[in-house]
Amino acid sequence: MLLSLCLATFLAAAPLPPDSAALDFHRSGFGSIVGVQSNIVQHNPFRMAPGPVLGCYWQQKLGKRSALQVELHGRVVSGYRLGVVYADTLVQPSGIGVGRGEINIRSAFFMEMPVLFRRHSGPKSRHAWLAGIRPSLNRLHGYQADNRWSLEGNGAPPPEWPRDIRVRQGFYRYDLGLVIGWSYALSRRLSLDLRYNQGLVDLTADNFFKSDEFTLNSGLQCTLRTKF
Amino acid sequence: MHKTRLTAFLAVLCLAGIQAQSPGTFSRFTLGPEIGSGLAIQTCCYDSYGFYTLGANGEYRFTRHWSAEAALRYINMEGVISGYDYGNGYDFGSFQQVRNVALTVGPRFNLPMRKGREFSISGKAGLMLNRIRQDITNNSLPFQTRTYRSNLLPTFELGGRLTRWLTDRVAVESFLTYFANTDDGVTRKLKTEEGLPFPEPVHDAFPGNFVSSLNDRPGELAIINFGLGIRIRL
Repeated sequence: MLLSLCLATFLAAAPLPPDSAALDFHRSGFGSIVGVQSNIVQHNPFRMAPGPVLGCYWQQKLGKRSALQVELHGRVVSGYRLGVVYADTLVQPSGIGVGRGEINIRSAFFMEMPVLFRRHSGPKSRHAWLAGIRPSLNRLHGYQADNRWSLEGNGAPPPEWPRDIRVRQGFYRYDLGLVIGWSYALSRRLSLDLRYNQGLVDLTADNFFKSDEFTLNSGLQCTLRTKF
Repeated sequence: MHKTRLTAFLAVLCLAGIQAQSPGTFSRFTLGPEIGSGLAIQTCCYDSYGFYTLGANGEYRFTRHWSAEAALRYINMEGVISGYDYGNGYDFGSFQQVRNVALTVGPRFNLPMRKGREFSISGKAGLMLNRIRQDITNNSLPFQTRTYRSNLLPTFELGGRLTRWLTDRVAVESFLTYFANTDDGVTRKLKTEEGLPFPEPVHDAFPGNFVSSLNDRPGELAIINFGLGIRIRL
């Protein structure tokens, strides 16, 4: 990420092609987003995982130096290592049984809609600062849940099977975050965007995962944006 | 660390491409980043998730219709390998992470359409650095991490792409590709084994069968990749 920042600084200092001279990147319009992210997947020990960012945005000019930017993008975050085992011994008339459920979460998908306020130093300025909020819908993109029931005794099934453990009971579906970022117009139709997302909600329920560790939807993003 | 290095390399490649735009003239080269996701099947895994590709591709246009293209991609996928429940405190589960790097080269046929749009089809072949890591859990707790030696496998790719030029130099594109590698059938060689050791053999099948199932085959990767990219003319 340090390298990305250095490159951005380099870009800011470097002369750009002449076709980008007539710059009006802050005007209203739609565009597409393609980029990479590095998401924090574990705080202790600290671990980050890379992933893609793909989406679109809409920008509405509010004044000479400000604009509202609404985005819709999807992110795959692969690298979570969340696991839990539930085991219960049940005494039934047919014998003694052990119900066991195992859940492992490794990957999640976030559908986000950041609403950002965009401010630049002038109508022809290449730089802009961004800040706003980021609501998101969270979906488990990959997990393994294993529910088993073993029985010792006369082999007859128990009158009532243990219920499955549902991972949805432990992973929040909605999330809210704060976004702060910087945008640089590379040309009339292309811009570079660097930002930091800070999740505000612990995605994992402590009592479900038997852990009080935070799992926040936070991370760094570097995207290229086109404007249609 | 290698992921950061690769991401940085791709970023340098794309940003260097933007910087290399020659004022006033148009080169036959186009370059751009691309991101995709979709369906990935790894023949060792019975379930897969977390699939995405990050990459950059470069194209050299020979004529209006024909060009040569090279694509460098980082392929990420995770999957679940069958576990083993022996009882007596051992209930192994295993997860496989595929973090491959593939380079494919081939011809591309381009069909220009109206309003700056262009449809292209391509067939490419190349090599993929097969990088496999496995996390073994025991009762859902981390037990062992196994990393295998990287090996090169032949790959091929077929795909279509729709490009829309926004200006003379910048375009957005969507693509759909089928990508697969061929399996050389060689047993994977273990590079590192971190964590706890497997228990002493309890009987013929345990844990020998489970361990051999982990490194038995390199696996074939088949991908249907749908994504979005940006193309920049130098």
